[in-house]
Amino acid sequence: MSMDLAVCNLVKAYGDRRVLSGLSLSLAVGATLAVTGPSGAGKSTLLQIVGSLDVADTGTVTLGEHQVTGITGDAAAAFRACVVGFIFQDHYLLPQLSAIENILVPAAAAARLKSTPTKIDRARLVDRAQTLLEKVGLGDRASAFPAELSGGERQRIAVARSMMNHPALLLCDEPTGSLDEHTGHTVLDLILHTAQDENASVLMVTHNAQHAARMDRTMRLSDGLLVAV
Amino acid sequence: MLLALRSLIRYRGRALLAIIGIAAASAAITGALAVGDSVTAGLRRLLLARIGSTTHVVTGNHPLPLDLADRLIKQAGILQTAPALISSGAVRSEDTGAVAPSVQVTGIDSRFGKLFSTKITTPEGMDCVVNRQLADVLKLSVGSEVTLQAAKSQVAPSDTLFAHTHVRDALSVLRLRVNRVLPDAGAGSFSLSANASPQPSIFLSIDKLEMLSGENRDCSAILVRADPASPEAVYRSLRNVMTLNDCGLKLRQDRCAGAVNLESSGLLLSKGVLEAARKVDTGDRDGATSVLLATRLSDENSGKAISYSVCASGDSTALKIKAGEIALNRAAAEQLNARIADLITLECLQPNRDGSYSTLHFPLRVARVMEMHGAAADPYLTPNFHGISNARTMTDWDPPFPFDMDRITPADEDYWRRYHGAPRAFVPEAVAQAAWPSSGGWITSYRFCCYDRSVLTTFSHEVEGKLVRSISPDAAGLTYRPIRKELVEAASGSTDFSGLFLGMGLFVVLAGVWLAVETLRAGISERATETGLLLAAGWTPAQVSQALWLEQALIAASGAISGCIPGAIYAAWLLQYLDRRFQLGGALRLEVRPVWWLVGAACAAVIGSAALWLPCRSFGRSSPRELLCGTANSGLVKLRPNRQIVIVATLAIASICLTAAGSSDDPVSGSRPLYFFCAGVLLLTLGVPILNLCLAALRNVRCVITGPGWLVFRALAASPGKSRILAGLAATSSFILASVAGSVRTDSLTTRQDRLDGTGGFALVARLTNPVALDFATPQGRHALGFSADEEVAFQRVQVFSMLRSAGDAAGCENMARANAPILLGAGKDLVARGGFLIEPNSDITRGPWRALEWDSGRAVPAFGDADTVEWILHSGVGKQYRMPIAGRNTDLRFIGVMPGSIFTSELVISQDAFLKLGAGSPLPGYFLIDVPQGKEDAVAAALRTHLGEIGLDVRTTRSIIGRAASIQNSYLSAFLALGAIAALLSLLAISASGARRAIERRREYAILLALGYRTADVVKLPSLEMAIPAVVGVVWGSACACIALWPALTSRANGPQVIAGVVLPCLGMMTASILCSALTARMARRPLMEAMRAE
Repeated sequence: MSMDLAVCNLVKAYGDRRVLSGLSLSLAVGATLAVTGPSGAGKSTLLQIVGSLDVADTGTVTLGEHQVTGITGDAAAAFRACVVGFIFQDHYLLPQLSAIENILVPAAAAARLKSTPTKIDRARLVDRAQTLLEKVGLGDRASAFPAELSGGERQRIAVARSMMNHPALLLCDEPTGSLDEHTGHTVLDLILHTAQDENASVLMVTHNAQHAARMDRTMRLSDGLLVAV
Repeated sequence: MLLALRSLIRYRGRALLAIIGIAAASAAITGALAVGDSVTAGLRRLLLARIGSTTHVVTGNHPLPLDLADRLIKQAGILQTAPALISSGAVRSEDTGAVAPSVQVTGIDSRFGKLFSTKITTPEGMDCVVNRQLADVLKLSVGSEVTLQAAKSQVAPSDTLFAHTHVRDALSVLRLRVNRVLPDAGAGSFSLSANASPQPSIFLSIDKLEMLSGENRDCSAILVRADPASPEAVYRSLRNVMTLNDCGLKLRQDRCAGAVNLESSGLLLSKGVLEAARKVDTGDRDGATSVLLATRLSDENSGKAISYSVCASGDSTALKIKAGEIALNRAAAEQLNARIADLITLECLQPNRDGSYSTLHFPLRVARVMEMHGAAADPYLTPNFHGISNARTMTDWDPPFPFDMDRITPADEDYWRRYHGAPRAFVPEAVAQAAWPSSGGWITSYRFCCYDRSVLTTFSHEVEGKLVRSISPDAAGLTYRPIRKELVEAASGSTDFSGLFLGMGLFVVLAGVWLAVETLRAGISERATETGLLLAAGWTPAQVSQALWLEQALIAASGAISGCIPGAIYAAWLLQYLDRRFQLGGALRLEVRPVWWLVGAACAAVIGSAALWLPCRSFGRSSPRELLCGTANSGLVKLRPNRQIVIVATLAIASICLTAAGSSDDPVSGSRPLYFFCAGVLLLTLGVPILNLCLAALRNVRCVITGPGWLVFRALAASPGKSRILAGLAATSSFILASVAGSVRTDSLTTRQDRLDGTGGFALVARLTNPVALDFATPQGRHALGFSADEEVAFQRVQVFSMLRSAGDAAGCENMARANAPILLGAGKDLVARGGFLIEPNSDITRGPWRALEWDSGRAVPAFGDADTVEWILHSGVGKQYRMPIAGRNTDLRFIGVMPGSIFTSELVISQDAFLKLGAGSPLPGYFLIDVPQGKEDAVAAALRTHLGEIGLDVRTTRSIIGRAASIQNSYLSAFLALGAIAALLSLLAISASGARRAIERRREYAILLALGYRTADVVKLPSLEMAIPAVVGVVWGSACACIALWPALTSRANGPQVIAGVVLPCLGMMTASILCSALTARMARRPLMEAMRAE
């Protein structure tokens, strides 16, 4: 099944301020796209609408056969759990869970949505989490808590978490914004390699031109519309 | 200071919660202190208002002459006097027929009203004044007609032949009209006893009351207002004005013998008077004389007999009569046809306590026949006795004992006409002593011989003067009491209410302080970064600590001060509650000296500051780097499991030891309940380290994907402080509520009396107000009292055991004032033989506890008391001594046993012999224990009330007595329950606030979970579960500990069901409330999470 992303004529306003003015974009399966623009342009708003965290005033968003616009409740939760993965600027790890447990959080959400997972499923999920942990180079830090990890390590855990449920689309909101250059590159490498391995598309908001250049395409959000760069 | 204020404003939420906690503690402390102070002030006002401006009262064991009041007031230092005739009686309403069996009857004159600020006019003629208490009981109003049966003043001791003890003779009956109803406060409840609750009272003219006694111008007490600057004025004045008449004594000149005889108006001379007389007597012979009335002297040899002969004994007769011998005067010898060595049988009557008589027989041999002169013909050896001495002939006699006129012969009448009361026979002292078994002595007069008859009058005056100087008021039976001082002492209360409510409020104090500590601890751990920054910027640890401490002190002070208002409200409510329970008519109100508010608030501030300082101490152990990184005091700092395990093990072992000790203790009595209660409290405390260990274990468990529950437990483990607050407060509140509710006494609900319980197997108790000889224990006695044949059926298999009863103060919990002189009951041999009642004896009692009541003079008097009364009211215990005034002398009692849950809540029990020897009260029974077959209690009680209520018999069921005591104790438990409810409310407030706070603080996490695919419905459950789980665990733990604490009662067949209900209901209530609070929090968490996500 094709999981292309299609955004058509997205309009979003906050009061009198129009943030998105009929924005459209498309992203094929496995492709990567960077969105740049000044602060307050609406980049994060675009990501939140695509990820069903926010609702557009008008326009449509589809990912494969998933009609994103208008979904609510369990359908929205299922979409976020199984179809997309989020990586934020601030890692947003849960401080009371260990590294591997943080990675398993989306899996727990997905399991709730389906039915009670069997023991075999649990073991499989733990395996998956451990594999992801090793992929991001933290295989030996499974039981460490976020307070015991550095900023880069936390963001790598966040990357692993976003891939837990084999998402079709990764939504990254300035994932390297709080990291130094070297660490930022490392994290970006992880995102791109992991996405490639999983055949997931990547839609990334970034201020970093170098990081944007590593995407297949770069578009600039200006006056509520995307313009190719 | 600026930093502290800014921090308070920044973290105002937590600060407010902490202030609430400290305020609760302050309210509990200041409220308890306020209650204690107010109760003392209220009782003082109540008791002193009843005596007006009286400072002292002079009383005697005999009637006092009215003019003593007139003589006293002329003395320096005496400002006012008022005579009063205080008696007891029963009043019946002529309108409704209702009877009040126990009424204080006071005869007053115009001087009485001047001692009170409210105007009281002396009732005249057939008018009377009643107090509101009596008016309400009998539904009286002005103009109502009543019948009063009051005890007449007695001349002779009640246990002698010459006392009027029969109902028809001992009581005077008056038909009166109510002309005023006095309020209970003040003079309306005039009383010299320290009983807080008002007694029904009736006032009438002292003249009217005296007339019915047939006595002249007497009173029973003189109220004195003395100059406060002269505390000894009363005693000095009494000594100055005292006459023999005031002491109940008189001198009678015996011109025949050339002597002066000292006699008592009460027929018998006391030991103290005799000692004084012997000191004054300069003669070479002891002048003590005893006369007795022999109802029959019969010569066994001649077969002849004489009825109603006076016999004398003593050295004053100048006759040495050996044991077993008798000397007859010539007239008696001729009438008996007696010769030397004839066997004479002397018979005399002995009154029994039930009004019947026994006859004593003394076989004596005639040793001598005396000619009719000297002592053999001296009528002055016999004291005057109204009804006999003033009779012209023997058939005119009107004695109080059975008198058969048919036995009087012309020879008797001739003797009486010629020799009047001159003794016909002279007997050994042992016979006289046996014939007068009264506790009041056996000597009827003391003879002072004057060797020159021409100066007899002068001699008489000299003797009188010496006697007055020699006899102390004490010896003469006169007592003066500093009544004002006594009542002020009594006003300090039987219970230390401040201490009691401080103890009850301890949990609230602990809960409030704990809430404040945990709230701030959680907050301070999040401020670790700030503290690290201060240290990194160059502040010293001392400066940082000072800043933190200042902040805590401001919180503690704010809480302490703001707690004063709820404390005042709480105290006012408690006072109103106590006033209603003890029926004090509004005497208790909030009146506190300002110093107590300061003390209470200061205590709360100090405790709060000290407690709040505890979390700050940890900063001293952390480095600035740790603080800046946020690792120093985060919720994920490792707990110290080893230390926790040690604490758990110690507390667990202590609990097990206590339960084992309790299990092995005597299941009926002993300290079993205390062991189990302590075990329960220890287990409650054990919950904290166990919780810590569980939370630590939760953190380390490998993940198991089970959904939101997994997240909840992780969150609880990550915030051990918050979890402790919730669980701890819930557990504490549940423990208090469950253990208090389960402790409510239900003794009165048992329908069957058991011989070995607090009722002793008795169904009814009757108290007799008037000292009359009453026999309702036998069919003959009941028939004589007018019981019908139908009523007699109910009395089959009914047994009555009588006890002697003294006047005094109720010693039990029903009396809020402190009993100065508790009521004593004297147990007779029949009751001792029967035994019964649940008694916890002292360890040195080797025989049956009742038999151990026998008293050897010279040691402390053995006594029983109700267990709660002895421990909580008299502040004594088994094996301990207790000093109290008995008949004007301080006497030591020793509790050889206590009776848990008994009917003797207001009295102490001693042996009858001890009661009589000490002169504690009337020798006639005043207290009756009635054993009634089941089902007949109502019929027996109704019959007794019908026939004997009007003469002052007050009948109650033992169940109602125990129930009343239980209800008073349950009142305290209810107050405790209210405090427990406040603690529970505090807990729920903490739970709700904590939950709401969590929902707000962790929005970010909840938003992430949404972003990661959790359903909204699952996410909003998280804060409520994080709140509900520790709360419910706490409730269950607290209730379980309460079950352990109440184990003996729980497993008791009688009380078990009530205890279970008492534990389960609060548990369910708390759980329901906790779940509701958590549901409320869930609603709060339903704020649009998308907005939250955007905000983050």
